[in-house]
Amino acid sequence: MAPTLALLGLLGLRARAEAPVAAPPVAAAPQLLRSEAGKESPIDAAEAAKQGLTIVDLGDRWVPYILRDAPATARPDQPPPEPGAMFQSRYKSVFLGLADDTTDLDGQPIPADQHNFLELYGIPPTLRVLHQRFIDDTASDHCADVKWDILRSVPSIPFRDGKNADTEARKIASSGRKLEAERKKRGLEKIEQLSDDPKLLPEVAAFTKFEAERAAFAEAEKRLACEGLFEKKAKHVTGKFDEALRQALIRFQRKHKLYDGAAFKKETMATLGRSLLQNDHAALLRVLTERVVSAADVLEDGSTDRKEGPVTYKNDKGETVPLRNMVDECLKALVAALDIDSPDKALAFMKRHDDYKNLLVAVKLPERPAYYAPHMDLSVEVDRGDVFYDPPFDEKGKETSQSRHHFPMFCLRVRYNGQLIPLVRWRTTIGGWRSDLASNGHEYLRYKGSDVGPRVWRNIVAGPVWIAPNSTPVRTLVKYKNVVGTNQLVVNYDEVGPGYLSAYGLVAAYNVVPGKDGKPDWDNGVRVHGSSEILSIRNPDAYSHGCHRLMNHLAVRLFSYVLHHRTMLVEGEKPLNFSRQFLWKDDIYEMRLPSRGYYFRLEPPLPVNVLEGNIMGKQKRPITTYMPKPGTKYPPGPIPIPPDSPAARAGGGGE
Amino acid sequence: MKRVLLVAALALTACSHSTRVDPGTPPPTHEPTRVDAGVAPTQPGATLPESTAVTPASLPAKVRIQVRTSPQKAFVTWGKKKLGLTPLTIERPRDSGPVDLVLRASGYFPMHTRAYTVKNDVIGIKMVKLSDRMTVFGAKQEIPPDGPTDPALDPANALKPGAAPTPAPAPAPAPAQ
Repeated sequence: MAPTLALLGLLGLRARAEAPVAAPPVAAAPQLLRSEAGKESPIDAAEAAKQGLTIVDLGDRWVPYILRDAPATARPDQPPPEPGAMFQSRYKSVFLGLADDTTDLDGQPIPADQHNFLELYGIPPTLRVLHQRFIDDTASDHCADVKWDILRSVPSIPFRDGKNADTEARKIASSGRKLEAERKKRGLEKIEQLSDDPKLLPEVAAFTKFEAERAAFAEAEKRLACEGLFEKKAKHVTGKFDEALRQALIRFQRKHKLYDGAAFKKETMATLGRSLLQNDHAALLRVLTERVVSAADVLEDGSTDRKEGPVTYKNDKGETVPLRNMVDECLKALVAALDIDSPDKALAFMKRHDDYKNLLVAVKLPERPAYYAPHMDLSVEVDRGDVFYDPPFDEKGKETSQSRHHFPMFCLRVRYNGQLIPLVRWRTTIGGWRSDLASNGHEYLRYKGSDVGPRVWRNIVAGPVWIAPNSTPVRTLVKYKNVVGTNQLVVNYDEVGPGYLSAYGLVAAYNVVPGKDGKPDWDNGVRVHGSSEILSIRNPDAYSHGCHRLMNHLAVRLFSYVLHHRTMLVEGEKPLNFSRQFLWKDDIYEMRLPSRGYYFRLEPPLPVNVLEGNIMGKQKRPITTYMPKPGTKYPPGPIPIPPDSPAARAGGGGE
Repeated sequence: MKRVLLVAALALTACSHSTRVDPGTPPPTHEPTRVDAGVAPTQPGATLPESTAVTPASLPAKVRIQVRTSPQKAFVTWGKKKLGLTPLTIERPRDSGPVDLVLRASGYFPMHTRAYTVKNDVIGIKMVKLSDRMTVFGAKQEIPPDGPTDPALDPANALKPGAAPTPAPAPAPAPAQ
């Protein structure tokens, strides 16, 4: 029993179990419009159905399928719910507030001029938020002083800061003086003309590249400023890649869903080189992608395409046909229906509508392939790719290279007419060497592996809570947070969840071996889940604690799709009443978790198979003992023996 | 149409313990109308999205959080706000976000805890004496000043330079099926 519960018993008190809430009042009637080539007219749902149209929710109360309310039904250990009572996801209201820029991740109100920018983490902004962007960005030419040609002239700008940057600048200045003297001597107009001389070519190239990047850097600074991305109190020194600039750049990347890290890389530069209106248009298309994917119940996004083109399969007529990119097709159909295929047309659409609370559009979407059915024979395959069991350092404690060429991949497939058709194939993660807290309170390295072999998904959990196992380093369980005017350490509930920063992301499925003959499932703590640890999925050297991570927005799409196309039970929020205390420095922190998340149960469970992958390196089996971290001081005596629970072996926890 | 078929099937297959969503019949020959919105996937008769309000009208607007400690008279703060000595009751608007509290008492470790505002709650805390430090999870075993800096140099440890680490035992088998 959790300590708090035990104490409540001592105090003669009893915690009340969560009950489903009464049905909420009926909201304002939605506005349904038939939209075709930009022409809109009111239509009722029955007529839309008759015409074979799909209703796409553009309203500000939209949430993905995984977070929707469901009629409450009796639980085995609870009295029957009142008629009309609903299961509600605890996280739904926070999701809505975050998407609509009205609340923070705790559900607390935020100032009107503050933005969450959470697309990268699976929470797209509402159309109200986008509408405001369009209106603000076109009210005047905020970026009139940006020299676009200079900004667009370089594909990327290397990070330059500190002494090395000063040394490089001096060197280039010296080179510039030399080249300028040479230009004058030869009577040329520009230094670039010196590149005709093979001896001077490398120096001219280095000089002109540096100068172009320096000029572009100045324009990038202006570009970030004109988009209002510097904090009001930030003190940025012009020309320096300081913290103020770094934060502005991160905000820019979050706003525009860029995965470049805090650097002026290719995608970031390309986006900086576009006008505010162009980027607003791109954002609208991204948001509409999630809405139309949800409305159409499709998933195929072209991620299974090979170099030679899409994979093929035999359709219901026996013809070999390519797998269609349904996400792209549906988006194009919606864009055509709304007539928003250019930034100006998108602006016109936005100006035409100023209330998105309940806006729905009925549009004609492409027909789905014949392998679609209410209950689809779906299965999952995870290929672990190249796997290293060797410790990431040698006997002397020096880091060793473990470069992988084949990365872990997640694949959802459908069996249709005897064929296994891959619908999506995405990068994911496997476990590796991670810090682990031993029984002596010190951290060691431990190999946190990803299970191999057949498993199933029985439960899918929206807004999941990650119950940190005891082996989680305590330093990661606390974080600074502003609490009523004071910056203080608190339990790192952001990582615990529910929330987009949760270790399990916005949604998770549990890999288990199904129990038979009344025995429970065997759970080794490995999940497939969304994640805000974007770089751990994209970085070639990054690993999870054993789970298979997916980008949050893809996880939301995936599990919504699976729940749409499998028989399932909605079980609602699962009460937890968990608490745990731990010491950090000279304070004790009590972690209190009231719920595990919003549960769905797949009936029958969905098959999952994890392939072993290619075992690289000398070590052919996982090492199960702790490894001391090189250069770290430890107490005398033998290295503690790691705990052998599933939650400790992998990073999972929970059920 | 698909959803309409689905909810029709639902109405017929109501389950006593959970909400069952039955995929129902094979897809029709023509493309069905698909309805997508913030409605329950299982709501019978739902043909239009419904943007539901979150706070049910029938619940009180405020929640009461009782904070009790053993021993009593721990001083409770919420950020800069001083709330008083335990036992105490905090009233907050329902669903107004979490409340991160710190409880302090002389001779005991400061205790950080969190209250939620989704329902009435009672938080019971047993304060921990400073002298009981090593009983708390996360307390570190101290390193003697002249102790070894690297366990690899400690003869008690098994791993030796160049030696292959002990192979792992076979993966734990799944329970007997």
